[in-house]
Amino acid sequence: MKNKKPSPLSHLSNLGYNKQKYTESEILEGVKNNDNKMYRFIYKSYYPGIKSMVVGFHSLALDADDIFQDGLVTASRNVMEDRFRGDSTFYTYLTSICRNKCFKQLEQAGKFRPANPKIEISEEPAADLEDLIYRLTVLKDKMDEKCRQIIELRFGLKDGIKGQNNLSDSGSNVRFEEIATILKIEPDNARQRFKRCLEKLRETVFNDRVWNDLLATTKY
Amino acid sequence: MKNLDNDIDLIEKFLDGSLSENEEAAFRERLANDAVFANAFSKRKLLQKAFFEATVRSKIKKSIQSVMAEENRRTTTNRRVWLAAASLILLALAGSVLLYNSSWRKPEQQFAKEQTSPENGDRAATQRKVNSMEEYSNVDVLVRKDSVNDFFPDEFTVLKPTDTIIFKWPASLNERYLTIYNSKGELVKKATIKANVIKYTLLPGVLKPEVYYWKFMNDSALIRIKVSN
Repeated sequence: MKNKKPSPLSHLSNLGYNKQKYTESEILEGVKNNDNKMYRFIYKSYYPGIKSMVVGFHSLALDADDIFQDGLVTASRNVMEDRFRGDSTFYTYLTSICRNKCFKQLEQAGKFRPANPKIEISEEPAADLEDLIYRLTVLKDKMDEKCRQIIELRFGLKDGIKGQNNLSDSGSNVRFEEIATILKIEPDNARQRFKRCLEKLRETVFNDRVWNDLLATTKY
Repeated sequence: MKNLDNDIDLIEKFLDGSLSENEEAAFRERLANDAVFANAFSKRKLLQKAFFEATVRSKIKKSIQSVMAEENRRTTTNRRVWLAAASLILLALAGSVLLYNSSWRKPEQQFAKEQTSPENGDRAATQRKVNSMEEYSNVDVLVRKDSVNDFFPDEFTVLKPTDTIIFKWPASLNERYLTIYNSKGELVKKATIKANVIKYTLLPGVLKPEVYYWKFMNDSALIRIKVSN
């Protein structure tokens, strides 16, 4: 069996030379698969430009690392959910999302009032839903580990990111029998535990003032 | 409260897909007609959607953060390696310059006519430069052995334009002016010598590579010297 020989220039990659380049479709495929190699490429290739853009705002309210991370998360999710139509390059798309995040943060910090309130680009999902998701990230961290685990199992997150992409009215929930097998408990126990934990989550979320304020202005 | 509990169970059964055909039809009818029930169902779906997205995004963000941290670590390590290499090169360069200078500064073995070779135990006519003000920037200082009571330098003394030359003469000579002429007979240097002084220091650069003659005014002894590179 033939061993694959390493490229004679492969050692240069470690020194920053011989940079690997990818086509647009390869980038999108890598992002869709949550591929760390592709995130590394995106970070090395796109971060400097986005950082310059953020620094260009001359505001201490903005952190280039945070903006880049949040922007890339949003862009990646949109690619995974096929919400990115590919009208522009991924770099342009990512930069637009990051710029919108900058505007939003400056607006929240009271340092920016847009002349045109619709600054979001058309391919980005409703910005308010993003806020709800971000708020829930904060709230779910307040829950205990056992509750988080059973809710994640029930909501189809046991397979990670690929486990469930599109939620329909009646599907995408893992049956309690399956959850019970994973947790090595009875299905009724799983059902009861989930019910209790969901109730806790409801209380935490629907009693949260920020969540309710966002919910009042969100179309979901 | 009981009704709410039942509604939650009903919604979960619907989401499981475990309702019978009739129960599902009743469920859908209730969704269409009961606003409170429809709102509870809608909130349940929103909760799931937001929870799902929040969890997935947290995982993606963790991946991105770990990639960024790893890249930053790698960049820092590379920078340190380059810095260490640059420091080593600088140190090596500095060391080479020091070594070169110390060997270049080694005094030349120059001898007066009666000092034929170093094997005879004679001290070289040149001394290593010791940073004294009178020597200035010259490397070699040409000086005669104190014990020899004669004219120095003479035609056998090898002289270079960069040497500091210490002129010496017999103690019995009591003249006031030391003169140096070039081969055309032109006066190059005239120095006044104070009484009881038996040496005169000529700084480097005064004598270019050429043949010169030096003597004391009113003295018959004319000494030929040659300065060459």
